Amino acid sequence: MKSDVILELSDVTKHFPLQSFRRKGRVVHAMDRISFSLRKGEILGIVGESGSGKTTTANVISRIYYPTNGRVVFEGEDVHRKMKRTVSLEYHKKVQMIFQDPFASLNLTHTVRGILERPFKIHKLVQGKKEIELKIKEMLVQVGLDPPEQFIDKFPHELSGGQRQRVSIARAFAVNPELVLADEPTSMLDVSNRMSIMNQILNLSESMDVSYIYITHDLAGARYMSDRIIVMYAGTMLEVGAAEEVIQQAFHPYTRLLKSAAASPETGLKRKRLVTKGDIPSLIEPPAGCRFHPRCPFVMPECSMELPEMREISDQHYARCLLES
Amino acid sequence: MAINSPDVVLSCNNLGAGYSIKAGYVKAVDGVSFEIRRGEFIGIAGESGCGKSTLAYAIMRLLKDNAGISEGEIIFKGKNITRISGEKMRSIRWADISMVFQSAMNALNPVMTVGEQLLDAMLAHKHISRKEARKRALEMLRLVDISQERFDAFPHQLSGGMRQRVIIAMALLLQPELVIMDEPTTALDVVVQRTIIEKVQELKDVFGFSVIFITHDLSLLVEITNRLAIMYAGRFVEFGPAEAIFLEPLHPYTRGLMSSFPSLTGPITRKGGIEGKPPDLLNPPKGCRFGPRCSDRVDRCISAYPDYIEARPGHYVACHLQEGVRNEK
Repeated sequence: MKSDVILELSDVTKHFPLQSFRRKGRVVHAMDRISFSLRKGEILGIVGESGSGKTTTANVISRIYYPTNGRVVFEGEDVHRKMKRTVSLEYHKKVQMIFQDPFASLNLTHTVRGILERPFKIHKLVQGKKEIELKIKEMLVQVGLDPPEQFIDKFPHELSGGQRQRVSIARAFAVNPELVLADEPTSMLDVSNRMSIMNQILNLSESMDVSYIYITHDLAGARYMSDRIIVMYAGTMLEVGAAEEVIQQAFHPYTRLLKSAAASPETGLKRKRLVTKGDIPSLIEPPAGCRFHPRCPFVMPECSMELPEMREISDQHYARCLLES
Repeated sequence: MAINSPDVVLSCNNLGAGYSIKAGYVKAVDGVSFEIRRGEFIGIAGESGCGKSTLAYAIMRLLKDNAGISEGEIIFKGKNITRISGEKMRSIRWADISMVFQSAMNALNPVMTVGEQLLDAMLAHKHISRKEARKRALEMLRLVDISQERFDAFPHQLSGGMRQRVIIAMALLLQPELVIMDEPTTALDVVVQRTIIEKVQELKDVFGFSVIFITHDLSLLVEITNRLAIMYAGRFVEFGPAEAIFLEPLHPYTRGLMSSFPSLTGPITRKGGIEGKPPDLLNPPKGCRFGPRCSDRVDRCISAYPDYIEARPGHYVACHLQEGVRNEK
């Protein structure tokens, strides 16, 4: 792999054991053999329905969960090794998160100033009250909360959803991170706000040269944001490749299904759709073989035998499917 | 805008509704007029807080104690139901107008089986035997693709999409003339959402009911509805055929909403969205409600509220700029 790879996941698996007595010993297969790499400055979109393991992936990368199996390597070092407090702090400075729900992810007893001075204090980036204040204001302007004096003393409940999400973005970018994990940052926002938040994130990652993992269930949004897209389903990766390639030349039936289910009026109001039945499978007893096979319109007998390997469809475009073309 | 023709199922004339809260009176729905014909699929799109759910609850006459219809009237099949008694409304509600609620996941009673809840709705309205009711309930479940064994299941044993389909079955059980769907698929995944919408369209063709579909997802509405209303701060700003609105939106707010959705197949262009936030409905702006956020505003927009103009046949818009266009012509 090229040397500018900053994050690499190889065969990462995360199983959550079930606690109830009756089902002791069984596990939820939240992530199974996820492998991908991320280059510096790249924006990677992870697309999938709820329960597909997107959020678990972000939480494993950010050291909230430890993987059951496999390795996550960030800048050449194993993320889940035993770390000293200072090293772990340094890692959390480099890898920041933006959460889905701006109503829950900001401390409601703190003002915007209180929320934004914490990253500076914890990571000891700036010394002195005045300097921190200056930095906070600079950050607020950068995320479009201008003039900053108007926002700095407000509590989260005095801000709209979009403004709150901007504060979370300011908090994530305040410490000059190298990787930002954004877990559906726009799904709780009003439609009229989504675009400007997405643009805000794009602008910041361009000007600060950070890498980005953008998690979403919206295929069109992922296309707008990312360089590359990973399609996840029931804890497994089904397709990965350049964003345009994955969407326009979708190979895996599931990607095609997602594409056909998405509302897109410009491609014609009466276009033909792929049809499917059923729901996302149980992750406690996932279907044998390809996890999508019970819903797949092109299912073959081999599909239920074993999980197909990732295979290269075209240049840098991989899919986990046995279909010929 | 209302045209009186025999197949109009429901019409609202200059409907206003709002809430009294400590800080004052919030007029959440203001001067809304529209009519819906038999078998029609109408969409209402708008951001949260624009009054679209209040409108739905007003039509169902389900507004809470601190809220009420302040003006205008609701005519259902030639009968004014704006102020009829709760008793009379109860016989119309569900039998003639039913509703699919926003969080259908929570709309089911968790301690009753699905079948029991379906029977309840039916026995409350119709004088039929339990056996007959059960037969019909099973038939309805079959129509929404839920197997018969699920009749005795509890809601927690069903997936989100299945629960949503049960709710839809319940709304259609008494074969109503009109079904109001308030964000019925928002909490669901795209694929499940698509199957459910297709199911609704299929059933609509079978039973011939009309649908008012409320959501914030404009691109979805453009695909599935006949006519479309864009709601902003309590008012319809644009109302007309869905395709016409999509191809040539006339109101600046509609254009803003359109540019808030990234496209799946078109060229990738940086899109703007809309700056600012909706007005405080406690003190709405004097002129056009969208005026303060509008990038094309002129002086008149701040001073006077624009009237509806029929820009094209059946396509109404409330915008001063469109008046100018028409006068020039």
